[in-house]
Amino acid sequence: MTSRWLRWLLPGVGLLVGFLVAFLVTGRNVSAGPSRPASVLEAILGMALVVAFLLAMWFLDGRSEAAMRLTGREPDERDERLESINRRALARTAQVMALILLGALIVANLAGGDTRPFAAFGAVLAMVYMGCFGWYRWRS
Amino acid sequence: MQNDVRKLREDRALSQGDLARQLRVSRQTINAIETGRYLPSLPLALAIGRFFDKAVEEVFHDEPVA
Repeated sequence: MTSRWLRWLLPGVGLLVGFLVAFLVTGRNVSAGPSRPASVLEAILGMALVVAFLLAMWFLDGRSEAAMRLTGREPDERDERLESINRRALARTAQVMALILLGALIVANLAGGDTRPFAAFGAVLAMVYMGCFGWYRWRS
Repeated sequence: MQNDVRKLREDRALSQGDLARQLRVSRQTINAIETGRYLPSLPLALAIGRFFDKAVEEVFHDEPVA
């Protein structure tokens, strides 16, 4: 995908998400019945949050590397420092996700709920990690 | 790890952006290298040395140059 397309990817997806949020909020309130009337204000607020995020990204574009990454306007095709930051951020995100998953499993177990989805997801994560570790160890 | 990137760049009257374009990295990466916040990979360190016509160990040092 060219950077020209990438430039419009975030605003496009953002607007879609904004409309989706507005639609879901309105729909949820309608389905809740007369006790919870459809709130146009909530829908507008939901969309406004997404649009505010988009505007912040556009404002920060060129000033913030994180914003530039999100808007697909990185200065060069491969910046090794950004790649390194990206790898570390992904690793940290995976660690937090594993912790949240473990916490959810424990809470579900204590509450007497079904723990199998959490266990299955955890097993997939563990297998992916071990597979990747083995692959990269073999490659380097 | 210390380095002379800022001095070498300024000696050539280059901006961080100019050097970044030559090395195909971001201006922020050059700034991070100069301030010691980021240690470049070996290929980038070699490219920096080549650009300034110096050996890598002449640009990057364990100890600050007196």
